[in-house]
Amino acid sequence: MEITQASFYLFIGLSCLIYWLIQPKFRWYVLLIDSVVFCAVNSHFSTYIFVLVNVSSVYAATMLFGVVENVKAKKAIVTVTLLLNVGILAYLKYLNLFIDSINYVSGRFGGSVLNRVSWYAPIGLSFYTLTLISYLLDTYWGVASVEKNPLKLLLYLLYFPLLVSGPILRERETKHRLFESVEFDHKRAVAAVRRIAWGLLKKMVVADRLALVVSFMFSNPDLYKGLWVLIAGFAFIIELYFDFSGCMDIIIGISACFGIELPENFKAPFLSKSMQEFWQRWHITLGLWLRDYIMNPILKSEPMRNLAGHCKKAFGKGGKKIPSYIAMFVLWTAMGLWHGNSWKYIVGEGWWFWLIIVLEQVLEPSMASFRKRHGLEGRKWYGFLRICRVLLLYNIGMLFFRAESLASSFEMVKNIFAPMALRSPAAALYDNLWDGFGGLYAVIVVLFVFVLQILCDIKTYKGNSMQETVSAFPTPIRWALYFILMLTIVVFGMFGKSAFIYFGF
Amino acid sequence: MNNEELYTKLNEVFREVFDDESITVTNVTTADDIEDWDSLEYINLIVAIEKKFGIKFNMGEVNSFKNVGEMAGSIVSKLA
Repeated sequence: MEITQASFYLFIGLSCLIYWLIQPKFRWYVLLIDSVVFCAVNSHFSTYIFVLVNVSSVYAATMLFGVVENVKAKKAIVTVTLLLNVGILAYLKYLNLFIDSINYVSGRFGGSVLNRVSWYAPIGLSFYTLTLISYLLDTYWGVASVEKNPLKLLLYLLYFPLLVSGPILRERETKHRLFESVEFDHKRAVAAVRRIAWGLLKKMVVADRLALVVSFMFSNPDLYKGLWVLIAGFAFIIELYFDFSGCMDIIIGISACFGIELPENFKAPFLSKSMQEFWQRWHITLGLWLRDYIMNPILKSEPMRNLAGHCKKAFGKGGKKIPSYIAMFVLWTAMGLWHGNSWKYIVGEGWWFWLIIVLEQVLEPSMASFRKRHGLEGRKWYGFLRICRVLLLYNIGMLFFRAESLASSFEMVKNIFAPMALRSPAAALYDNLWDGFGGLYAVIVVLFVFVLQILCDIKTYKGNSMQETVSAFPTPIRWALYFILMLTIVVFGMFGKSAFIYFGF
Repeated sequence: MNNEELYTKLNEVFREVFDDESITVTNVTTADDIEDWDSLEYINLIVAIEKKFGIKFNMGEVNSFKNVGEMAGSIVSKLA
């Protein structure tokens, strides 16, 4: 059951009807049943055992925290539970990466080759494992309350909208909302449906169309060289943005239909002026999770504090940053690994962005004085240039994400500097994709939605909300817009196309 | 330790960590109010506060402080 299918919306419509008709204290049972059904339908039956082990181990550990008083025993409980759950994630998701790496090394020395394995993982494994780890550690540290009802914990960890592509939750921010008795609010319901429709438009009209272009260009690397590589990369980052943020619009909208607010995952990332700012605006909940549960504990550890002291003595004030670059390296390696079981993610999604951010931090004092000296601070054209720089660097990192393998990623980067043809690649695009794309009207619609998204992002960047602007329109105009929105999805939507890029992570 | 003494000590730590003698923090001060306060300097700040007051924050507390007021509240409860 995918969230762009009509059957999913029948499921949601029926659930909403029951949810709002029954007594508030029983409502969470509807969400629990929905979550179990959604998880079961979208996961192979052989994976149910892993979900059970995940949830029951965390439940048992957090219940023991209240009984066991010995500090060392508590530490042992949290360590074992953590290793068990990270182990399940590693076993189901990363074993092939390990096998591939062993094969590569042993192949160099003429050794034997291990067979890759093939098995199923529960839906949303990468997302709910992070939520589960966050809950486990926060209860251990005493900043989250222990949930004594195992069914409520099951709902919190497997709340069905989140299984598609996150966002990743924090107990203190979200859990209580699942069990609160909120009144039905007509305005909130309309805003929720509007957000779902906007997400569907982004996914089905724009992202799925761009996917055709991206797929064609990436599968013909001999044809698309020079600037064409960057055009292909740019098409991909736009596709990914419309796909992933469209998915988030749908998920947040669906949750709002049940009166449950979820954290935002995107805040106008393509208007960022540095790579660090970009990652504070793109996939926000993942970035915050990695910072709080990987980077901060490393930075605060005793060996890192000692290292910071030594570096400060040896290299002066700037030296104290060295431990933070090491901690960031671990964070970005984890970021790459989280994206998939291939070295291309570790290099492109991890180490590339680590390198760029470290360089930004090292060069920032010189750049700041350069901006001050030449009066560039606050100049719009200079801000635009900085945005373009971020987009270009992000584009290069994402070539690794989209390419088939690490070797083909490097080949694509090399191709950027190769001589390019102009007419034959453009003609190939037109001949192969023009009809499938939907012709001139489809191009106009895609461009129109693209411009609308830019306007939304500019508003978001300035701290305003397009939702509020639309809500303030007179009723006839609003409903006319809704009608146009729905009609555009029906006429230009690519029905029955690909799943969301982050679906199944 | 009264509130005034607590904030005098906190100001000393902030000024030393961010190398800025003009900093004066209140209970509503956040990362947005101090230019160099990023996630990396935040940990340096936490460690410097721990040293100054002879206390230890756990990572859960470190990850959940929303402003200086919450930090101060935790320091007071640990010193009590």
